[in-house]
Amino acid sequence: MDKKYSAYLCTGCGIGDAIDIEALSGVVSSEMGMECKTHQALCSADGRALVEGDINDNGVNTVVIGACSPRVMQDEFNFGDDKITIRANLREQVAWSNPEDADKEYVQEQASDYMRMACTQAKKSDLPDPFELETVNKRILVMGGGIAGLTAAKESAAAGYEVILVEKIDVLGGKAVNWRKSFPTKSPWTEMELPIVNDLIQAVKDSDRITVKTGTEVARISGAPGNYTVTFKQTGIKGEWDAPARVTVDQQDAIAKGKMEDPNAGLKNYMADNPDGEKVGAVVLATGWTPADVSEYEHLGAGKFQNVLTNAEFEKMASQGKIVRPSDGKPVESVAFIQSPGGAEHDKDFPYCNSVTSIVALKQAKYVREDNPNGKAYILYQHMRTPGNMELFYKAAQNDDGIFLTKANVMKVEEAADGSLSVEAENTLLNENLSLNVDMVVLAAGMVPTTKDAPVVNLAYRQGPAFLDLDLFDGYADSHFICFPYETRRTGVYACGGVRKATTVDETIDDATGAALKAIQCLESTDRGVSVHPRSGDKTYPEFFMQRCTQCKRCTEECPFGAIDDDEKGTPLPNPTRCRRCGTCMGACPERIIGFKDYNIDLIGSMVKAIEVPDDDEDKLRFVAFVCENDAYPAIDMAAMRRLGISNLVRIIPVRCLGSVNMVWIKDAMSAGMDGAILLGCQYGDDYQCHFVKGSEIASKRMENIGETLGSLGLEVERVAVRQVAINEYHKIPEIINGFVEEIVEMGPNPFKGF
Amino acid sequence: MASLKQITYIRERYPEAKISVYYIDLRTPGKYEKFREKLMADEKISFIKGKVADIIPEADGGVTVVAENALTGEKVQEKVDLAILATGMAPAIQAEGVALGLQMDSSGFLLGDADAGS
Repeated sequence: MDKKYSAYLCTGCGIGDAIDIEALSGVVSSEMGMECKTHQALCSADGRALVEGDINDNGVNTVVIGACSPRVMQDEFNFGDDKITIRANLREQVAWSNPEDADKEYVQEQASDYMRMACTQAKKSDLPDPFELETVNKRILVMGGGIAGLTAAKESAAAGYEVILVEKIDVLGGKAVNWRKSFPTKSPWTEMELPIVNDLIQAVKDSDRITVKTGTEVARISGAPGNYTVTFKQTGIKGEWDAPARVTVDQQDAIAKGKMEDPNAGLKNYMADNPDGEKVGAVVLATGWTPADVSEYEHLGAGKFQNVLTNAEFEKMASQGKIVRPSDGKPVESVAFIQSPGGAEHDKDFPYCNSVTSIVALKQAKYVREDNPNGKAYILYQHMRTPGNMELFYKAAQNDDGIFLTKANVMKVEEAADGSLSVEAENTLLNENLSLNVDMVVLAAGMVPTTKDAPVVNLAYRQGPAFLDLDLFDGYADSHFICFPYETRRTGVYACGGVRKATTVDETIDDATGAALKAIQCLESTDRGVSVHPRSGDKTYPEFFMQRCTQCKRCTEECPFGAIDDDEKGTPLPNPTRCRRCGTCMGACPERIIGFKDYNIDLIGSMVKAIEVPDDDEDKLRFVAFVCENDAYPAIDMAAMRRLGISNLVRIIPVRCLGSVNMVWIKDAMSAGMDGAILLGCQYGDDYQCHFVKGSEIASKRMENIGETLGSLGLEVERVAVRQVAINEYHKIPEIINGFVEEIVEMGPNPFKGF
Repeated sequence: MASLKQITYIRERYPEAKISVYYIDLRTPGKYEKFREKLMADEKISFIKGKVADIIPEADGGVTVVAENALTGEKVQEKVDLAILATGMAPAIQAEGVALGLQMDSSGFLLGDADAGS
């Protein structure tokens, strides 16, 4: 694109009061060589007309706007997809971040640097050219034929998409086919209902858009969103197309040297394409859960006494007929439902319960009453978890004379000679210890996600067949349960139902509908060549200059989303439709060969170098802040709106994710004589908030390494820092940024300044 | 859940404040159980299962909370600076809903019908 530039400065919202606009305009026109115009309200119709006039009459196609934060007025300053628009944040970061009595000279230098950086960015940016697959397959693979999978298939088909529904066993319906009743789903929320699963099965069978494969498993899924190849196999058999296990770089070396056995011997290479595979574009993972093993709770008689059952076993018996004691087949008179492993030490439920098992206990207590009008059900709980309208179901149970509910620490269950059981409990609501004699004990076992112990999704990816780091989520197929509920660490694969968390039928249906919608969003975004999420609609993607690649494999290892495969030599093979455009690969690459059209090593490096660093004034230190645009950057804007004051020695550069920060930018800054560099990003670790899951964590590891490099150069390691901030922690911004500046001011200027 | 969240607000600003939570059940499903555990590990927060019978105003502006611990049967009297009631969230549409002929449950929540598209 032949660029024709023009720059515009807005004097509204206090910008004109804080900054000498004429002088600033001079910097743009003389130093940066761009025509520069000013307006008192650039976002107004009149202001826009000024820009549009230049676009229409003078052929301007690259516009630099020095006004408010790029986070606001996005429609006003959108001049079309065929124009490049760069924003300099003069309002929030200059006018609103300096106190009224700030030294005008410092403020002016700050504003000048922001315009130099923005003009540089404009010169280095290119229009994106979306990555489009030759053909996009829009069929959806739904894994799992329970309530979640059936719903996802039905909803996807209803929206007009072809579906393959694969179920491991020979019948559809999942766990729900063994249920006697379901929870209430409508007002007055007191009556149990017949399970809807048969209706769902029928709807799926009736749909001509859904192909059902029962008794079938997914051997492997290779490829990428829009173009996956799925190899199916008969359940339980092993085959050469089974998904290969993850092999790390070190393991690969060991295998090559004969020091380690190849775990994937006999399997097709992970890059092999099965000509007999079926094509799909996106995957809904609805493989559900298995009942938890409770045999470790010996004090409750689990696995020891015949009449101690799990809730899943009890449900199956109840669905098949009368509830009887397994020991002698006698109908039960009394049943104790135990909700918590008890003992004196804690008050938690059994693992993997969520709130579902509390409601299950209420339902099953009702079965006891249905089968025997004189039957008695005891629910011994620590906390009844009955969210929303289930509270009314709970109340209805409380009003039943045959259902007794009490908080209790269950200490032990013992068996009498006739097979009946005694339950000892402490700390009950009766203010005394409790001893119950019952025919049967039912333990509220949890619902363990199928992804806890097996890869399940069986991806043929360089990073292995499974989702990564699921231990953070107790094995649930999750990646961030608040911000991105259905999204996994693999673009194109969306989880729902029991594999994602223990859910009720109602929640499962909502979940499955949501996941189906995400799968559709993925297909349509892929079709348009844009990013799916969280940078929805982004047309850029990482491009690799392979001639200079040294096969170091850092990009393939570090990509949080497994977007990059490789060949036998280790040359990366990127899959743009798996990519989320965070730029972690760009940050990782020591050869600096990865970049986006509007975001790359040269572009940001040039912006850093555009900052003017005075080498003769000990007071005018200079700092660069690489700030995550997802949370930290808006936090800085909010701090500015509240006039919290941010040091005017700092120059802020937004980055897509801290993971994209290449250490060469820090070196650029330090060798330009800047006095310090700070990275501001999201929290990482167990409670991570990083939009790209691993970016901020990877950045902080890299910073540890650069600390050593700086040390060897004779620079204090404290001159580069990485800090975590949440989007709502704007009140901490001055403390973080100004605190860092003060620390370095104390230390003194960069000793290499001016060299 | 909101109460637990608000406890963190107090703790952030008053690291030494003593906090009592009177509850019937702590409904912290799934992952929120970890959040509950974190707060329960705070020695200056006590969790008391029991209903509050009375809240009596005091001359200094504080209040005394009168409750019964349901597990021990003990009567509890506790003077506090601030008592916060964990009130529910009533649907915004009440009488207007009736006037519009919308289907509502006994609490005034709208009843949808997915099959009918509402």
